[in-house]
Amino acid sequence: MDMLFCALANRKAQTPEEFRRSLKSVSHFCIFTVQLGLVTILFGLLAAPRLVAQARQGEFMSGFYTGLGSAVAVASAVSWFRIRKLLQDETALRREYIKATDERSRNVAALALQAAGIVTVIVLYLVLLVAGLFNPALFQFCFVGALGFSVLFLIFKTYYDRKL
Amino acid sequence: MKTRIPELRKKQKMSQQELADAVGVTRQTITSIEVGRYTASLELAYKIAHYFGLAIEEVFDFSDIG
Repeated sequence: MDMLFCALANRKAQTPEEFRRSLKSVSHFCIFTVQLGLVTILFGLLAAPRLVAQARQGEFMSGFYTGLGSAVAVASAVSWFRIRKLLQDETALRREYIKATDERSRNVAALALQAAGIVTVIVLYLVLLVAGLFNPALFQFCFVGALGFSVLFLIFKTYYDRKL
Repeated sequence: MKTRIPELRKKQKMSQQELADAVGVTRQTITSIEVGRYTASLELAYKIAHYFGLAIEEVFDFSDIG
């Protein structure tokens, strides 16, 4: 969650002052995601067991939503406190700015995303091949997932090709 | 790509962290550049050379290229 927020803050920050302003915006976003986490917890506790037909599945989904909501709320709260602390300490803020804008770190993140994307598509494809024989829902999920990823990749590639 | 950065740093009794702070990158980036694992961008190469008061060609060895 921290990495996501830093990526959001870092997107267009050209100077430490811009980075500071971005971090302030991200801290406001953290408040929204804490609320989102709390809503997810409420949904998991109150709505999920009633909306899911099978009792056992309902219990599982209730637990899953509650756990997910808790993780999102806690991670967002921790990020909010960390950002507030950074905004009060100039030296730490400058260090964080350097970490966020460091060209090697950006290259590493881009390569990691690329590798993760490729591995994800390959795994989806392999699961799709096997699932087609046993589980239609899983087959459709993997098919839509692999196709959706490929389409999104082409769209963003065209966009950045024209932009840069 | 080979560089003279370790030699230039030692002449000025400067640590990797100090150089990293001066040019606005992390210490890990300076380490990776010095051991040849990472190739600096033109902008970063210029900043490093400018910091030592030298031309880019005097800091970085381009004989591997082309």
